[in-house]
Amino acid sequence: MILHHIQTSALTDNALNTCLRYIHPNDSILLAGDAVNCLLQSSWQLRLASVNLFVLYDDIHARGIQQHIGRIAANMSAELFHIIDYSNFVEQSLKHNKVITW
Amino acid sequence: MKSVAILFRHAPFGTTCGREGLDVAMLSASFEQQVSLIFTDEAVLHLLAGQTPEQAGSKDYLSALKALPLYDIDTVLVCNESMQRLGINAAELSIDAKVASCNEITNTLQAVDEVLVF
Amino acid sequence: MSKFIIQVNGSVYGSSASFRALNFCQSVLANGHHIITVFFYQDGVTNSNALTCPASDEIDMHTQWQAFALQHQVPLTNCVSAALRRGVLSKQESLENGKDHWNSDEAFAMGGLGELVVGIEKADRLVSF
Repeated sequence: MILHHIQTSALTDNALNTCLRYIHPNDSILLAGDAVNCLLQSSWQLRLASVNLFVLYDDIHARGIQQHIGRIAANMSAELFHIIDYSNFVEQSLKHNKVITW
Repeated sequence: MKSVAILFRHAPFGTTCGREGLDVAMLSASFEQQVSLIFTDEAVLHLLAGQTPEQAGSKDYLSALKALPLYDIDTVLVCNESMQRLGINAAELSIDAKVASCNEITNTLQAVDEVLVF
Repeated sequence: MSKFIIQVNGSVYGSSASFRALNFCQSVLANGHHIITVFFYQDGVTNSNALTCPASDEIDMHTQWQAFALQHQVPLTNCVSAALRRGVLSKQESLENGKDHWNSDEAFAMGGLGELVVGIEKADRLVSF
């Protein structure tokens, strides 16, 4: 069970795409920094719909996209979509067996 | 001792990721850690034979790849999908590396203690 | 209590990775865990440059790391070879390399990659930024 940590925009870096090529069904993805923006695109919403997903609260609010993300989250599975703070990020890094920062 | 996978995903020479990742791999191995290397995306180009890094303003760190067995780094996986996308075949590789399916790479990522991406 | 090693590859300015790394480190301690060291590698070594002078209304990651280390007694370790290549020198390196100046703050110890490897071996978790 791996926490895949993505920090870069999916439009300018292949990190998220590469991570999805090797992800195991039991793994999770954490979107942080510019990586949170990919959720605004329906193509990425679709690709991430079946993944246990964590999104960093501060990075959504810093970018003023919380309402967009709220609407998008309503269409995602509540069990798989989690907006988390740094404290929870720390605990998730321990609940998973390792963190891979792509 | 821990098992560590160093995963390369950036193209050679455009950044120093490959060089600095390889340094971590060699050093981990010399500290008796169990090291595997994984090359994916454009990083598979690190393994092409006949490169002249100096012409791109880079130190020739690729020749160190030939020394991997001396460091007991025996597991070198190259992503088959990435190779196919770039039109590279196994005969063009400069070292003895295993052309690996996505599944094999997934399994390696799951099995090792830590993964560092460069 | 769990033991963390934190790797910072993002630069002092121009990337937000260092900022997130510091936030993460603060939460690690707030949650009662331990940080073996914060290891600065690649462009992350620029965080130790004491000559960074952002405008007063901008975030100053160098000062923030320095204050964090001082307040919580968390070791900050620069990879010395990554630092030398990027013009980040401690007093000792400047003497050894015949330079008249140095810029790395003493809150950041110069160390080798071996410290990262040993840290990973001791830690329960490695998290990179």
